[in-house]
Amino acid sequence: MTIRSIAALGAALLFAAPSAALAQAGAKGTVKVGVLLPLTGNTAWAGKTNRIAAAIAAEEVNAQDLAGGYKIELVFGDSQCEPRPAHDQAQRLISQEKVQLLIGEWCSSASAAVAQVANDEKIPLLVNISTADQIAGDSGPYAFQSSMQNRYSQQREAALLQKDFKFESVAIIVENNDFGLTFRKNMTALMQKAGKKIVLDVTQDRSDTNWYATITRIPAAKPDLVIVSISAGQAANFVKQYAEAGITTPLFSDYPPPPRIFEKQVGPQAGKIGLVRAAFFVKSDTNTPAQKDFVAKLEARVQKELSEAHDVTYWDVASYDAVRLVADAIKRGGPKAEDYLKAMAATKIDLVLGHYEFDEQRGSKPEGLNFVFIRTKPDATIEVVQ
Amino acid sequence: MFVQILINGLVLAGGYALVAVGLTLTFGVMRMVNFAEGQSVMIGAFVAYTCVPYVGYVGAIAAAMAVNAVLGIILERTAFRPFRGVELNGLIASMGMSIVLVNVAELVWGTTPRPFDTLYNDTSVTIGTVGISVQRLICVVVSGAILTGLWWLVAYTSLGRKFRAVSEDHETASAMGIDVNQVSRLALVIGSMMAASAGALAGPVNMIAPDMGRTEMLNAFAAIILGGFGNVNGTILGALLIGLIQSIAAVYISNAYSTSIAFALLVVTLIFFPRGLVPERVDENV
Amino acid sequence: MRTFKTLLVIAGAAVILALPLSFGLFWINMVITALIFSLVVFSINLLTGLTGLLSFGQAGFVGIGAYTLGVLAKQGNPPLLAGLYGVLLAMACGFLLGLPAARLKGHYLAIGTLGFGILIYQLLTNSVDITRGPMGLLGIPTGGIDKQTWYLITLGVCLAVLAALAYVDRYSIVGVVLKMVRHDEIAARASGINVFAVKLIAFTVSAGLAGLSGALFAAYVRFLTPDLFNEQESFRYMMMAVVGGIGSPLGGVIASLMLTTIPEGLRILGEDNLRLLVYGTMVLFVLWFLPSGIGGLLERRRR
Repeated sequence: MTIRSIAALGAALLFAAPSAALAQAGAKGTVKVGVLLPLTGNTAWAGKTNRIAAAIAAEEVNAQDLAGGYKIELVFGDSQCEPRPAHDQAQRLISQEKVQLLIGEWCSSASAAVAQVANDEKIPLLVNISTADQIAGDSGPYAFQSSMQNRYSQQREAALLQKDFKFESVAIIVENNDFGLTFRKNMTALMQKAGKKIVLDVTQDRSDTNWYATITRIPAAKPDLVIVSISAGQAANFVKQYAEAGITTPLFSDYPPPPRIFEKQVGPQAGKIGLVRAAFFVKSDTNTPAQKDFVAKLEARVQKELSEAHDVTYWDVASYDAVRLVADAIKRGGPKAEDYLKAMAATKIDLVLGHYEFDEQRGSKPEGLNFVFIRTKPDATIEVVQ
Repeated sequence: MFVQILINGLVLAGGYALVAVGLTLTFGVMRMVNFAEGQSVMIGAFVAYTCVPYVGYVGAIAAAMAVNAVLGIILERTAFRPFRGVELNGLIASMGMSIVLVNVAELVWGTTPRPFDTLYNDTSVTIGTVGISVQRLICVVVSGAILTGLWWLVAYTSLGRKFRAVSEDHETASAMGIDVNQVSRLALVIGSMMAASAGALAGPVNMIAPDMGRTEMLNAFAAIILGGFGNVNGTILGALLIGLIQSIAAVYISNAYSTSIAFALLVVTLIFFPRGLVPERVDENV
Repeated sequence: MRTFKTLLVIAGAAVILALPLSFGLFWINMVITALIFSLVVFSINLLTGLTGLLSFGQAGFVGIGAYTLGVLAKQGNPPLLAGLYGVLLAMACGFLLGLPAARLKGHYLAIGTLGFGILIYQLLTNSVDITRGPMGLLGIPTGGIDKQTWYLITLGVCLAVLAALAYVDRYSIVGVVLKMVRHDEIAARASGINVFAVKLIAFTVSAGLAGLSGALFAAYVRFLTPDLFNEQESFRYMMMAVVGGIGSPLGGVIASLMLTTIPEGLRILGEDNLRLLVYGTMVLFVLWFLPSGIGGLLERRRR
């Protein structure tokens, strides 16, 4: 194959995608929406299926005319979960691709970068996955945050923990990323308020994969409960090392997103340690019809495109919902920034994860969103507790 | 508690030492720093992971070392030989190679962190109050054995004499009929194989992912400088010190600064011993 | 005839320099960031090219400059003043690091400075009360300047630094001293030069340049997170300096332009690993075929 024919093929593919959608286009024109996700780097494993989830949402919006006569066209940018690429990609999508709206990113530090660009360039942004507190409130009027913010998650977790466990002392172990540090601050305050004793408080560097030193300190401190906030690959690492150390203290992990990630990444060892977690979404019998429908759609699609069996994650749901939220706001306000922002602020919609509404700080209200407690059983299957 | 700290320190030290001796050999012979060493660790871990179902754990370590030997030859050809005499360029070229290796690994194995379980992960012995998986003990023992082997190779074999000759004086060694190219290639091959064993040993203790190896490499840098660049004994000593001190500091000081602690130790040492604990014998250009 | 030729060169240069103003905003953005990076490349050139000292901790100084501006400006200080403090603080740190580091040689120095960079990065991450740590510092109050103006500002700063470096290098006694220290330290010492002081000054000035780059970066992008200043960034700056040719500031500018924009251009290959694979290979090719970097190529042309 010559270079020219490869280029021709590439060009053909580039044009084929949008024009296929044009056949069923809305009457009022097309709105370009930029979606920033990690498609390379150490979180790409999540970003790749999120991309498919977002694409499914866009197809549905266009097929069922859910954006009030407008058609949505997604443009993806690989922002690698890092702030500098996220900044540059947001710039690229805005000035090269001429997107009118943005969705993303995955890591909070990258989302903060995107939020800054969005506010500077006056392009509305929906932060759909990052959970750092107040990304929208801190950055300016053009950003909304549909993911549940850390402080709300932690309030709920603290309440659920006190209902589910009898404990007087806790160990709080976090890694020093935004997620872990916010968690530590919020959870320490909540536990002190509840009169619990914090017997061990460790922050570990996030690039340090050896948790053994930290784990060896747990038996000496004798906590009734170990609470950890460690994310992505490190979380599985911790659980694995915890299991290998044979510690029997109950473990609560604040790493909500992918329910079966420990079972998938750690293997059967995850079942050995009475692990309890909070999650925004779990594939289970208690799912709503919308959730069951989405799970079926996405799993089939991932199997087709990436040829791998996939367990739907919260991130997938959040990516799908974000596109639907954007479409809904366009339907009510049109794509022009001011009207769109007003419409987004007035959002009241039930989607896969639950009911979405925004507060004055443009963060989502936590009440309507799904939140469950799950326990890993000894055979490494999951049961929903609350 | 003490036993756990000691074993944890030895696990860390073993990993650092295996990475660091590779770096040291390459540096001694070529005066170049191999920035792709961390990625060699990663490739080694993935190859072992892929082979383990077919050939067992020991076979997998051997397979990883074999694949990495080839990788060593490729590295020597692409990033080292072309740059003899312009060391900085070699260093940047090895950085280029490390970008290539990470992305190849992401394409081949994907980015999901994977558990690399051996038979020995699930069995653990309890010392005091905390369990230690047999895998960790294997790490300590096997890395100790490999390092002893390497030390013997450098100290007592004719190849070892060639290494030391080239390290001490390139031109004289060359004038005395030593094939410097061959020695350089062997240094990289051995270094790369050491990295493979580091990956295959540490992989089952942690998880494996394409971005692994970076922290190990940074700590290994600290270890080689601490020990005195270019000699194997000093490097092993440096790695041992850093592993143990990090392990102690993680329990008694802070776990949020572990890499900084390694380097702080290094800087303090350098103030008193500007050429490391076991200085290399290189004359200044008088 | 001679003046005509000079005029022609000046006119040509002006056209080339004005060209980015006609680019799309995204590409102007890339050019601006590349120009800001090139200040760090100059700082490496000053250290390595003129004095033979190798520093792998430049991102640490960049981070100090950037965070000083960010934190102080957010507290309500005028950004220019905050930036000045940033540069001064970076210089102070450079001086302090230089005290032990200037006694070290070659790779000992490289790894020692690498350690400094890691320490700064971990400090920025863990001092949550001051820097907000990984939560990031948002909304630094330096907005309201458009991209074209930013281009002119960064271009102006770069040209000024380039001119200063060229002047020091060619016409002043300092340049002679620096090169002497690099070329033969013992001879320099024998001719009465206080080698340690010279290295210390080089360290301090180089840290100041990196700090300036950081302050400019913070003012331009208006958000900061510690990840922008980790050791990978130090390596990247070093890569730019070497691809550009150590000792050639102009080559450094071209290299930082290339290494910043090419990965973006490669996005036509798709948003996946292939693009980065090509990028890594490309770096290798440049080094193979241009052993003394882009600066070497420029030098050859001149002859």
